[in-house]
Amino acid sequence: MARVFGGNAKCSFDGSEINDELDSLTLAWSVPTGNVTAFADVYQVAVAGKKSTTLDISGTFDATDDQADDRLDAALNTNTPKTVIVLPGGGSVGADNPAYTCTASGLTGAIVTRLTENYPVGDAAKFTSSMVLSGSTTRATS
Amino acid sequence: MARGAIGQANIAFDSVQLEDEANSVTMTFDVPPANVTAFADVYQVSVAGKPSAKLDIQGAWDPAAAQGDATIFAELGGVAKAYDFEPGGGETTGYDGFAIVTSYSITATVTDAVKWAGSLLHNGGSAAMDGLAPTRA
Repeated sequence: MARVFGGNAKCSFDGSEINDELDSLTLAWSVPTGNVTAFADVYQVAVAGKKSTTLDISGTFDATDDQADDRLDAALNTNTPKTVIVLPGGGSVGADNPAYTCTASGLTGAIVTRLTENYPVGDAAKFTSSMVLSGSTTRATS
Repeated sequence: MARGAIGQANIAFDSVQLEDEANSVTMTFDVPPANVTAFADVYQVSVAGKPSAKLDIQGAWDPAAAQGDATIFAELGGVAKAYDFEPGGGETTGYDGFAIVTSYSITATVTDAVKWAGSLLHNGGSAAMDGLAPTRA
């Protein structure tokens, strides 16, 4: 059984590796349910609907060009889906180290829905961002 | 009087044992009440509706083939698969049935292990969508 340290996770957004600024990410899938319970049923019965994916990231603010702030801000202003790739285990993709990818194409890709930057007087500048991964997100092991 | 042992629960989904990566399982049964209070009643009166059951599981993320991540991700939006939950570990009383995956998340933080959490919604007792209760055995 494998267990994985989270400190090596990788994340790229719009072709830019942003894991050198991130300290937390959550990739989440949600499946809506349709209630199809009939009178004859003892327990409620549900069927699965179309799944959706979100990505929430947070980290230390980096104002350098082509880093997270630059890319996320640009994506916010263009409303164009971007490619996002996440390797929770870091390293290279492999049989026991999957990569999750949402590739920008048409309506598919990551849409930045929120970008928050915080500049406290007594701490490093931080940012958080939320994305909806429109269309399919694939799990690859090679 | 028997009491459940700590840290020995078994949980399987789609024939994959998840207890080697899960560290918390909560099975919740809900019964929606319908309010049938009439003008003549002093207190409100309810009747029980059809129950539902769900399983919330979390643990340390295991990306290996045929483990939790590969199994649950593959069932997102799919048809119901069999589950078996034994709160006290193997060969004890537990619940089994069929369930669909309703949520799944992976969280990586720089100072901790990669964690996962998922929710399963009971969908049938002896077969998918048969409308029966979880089997308690």
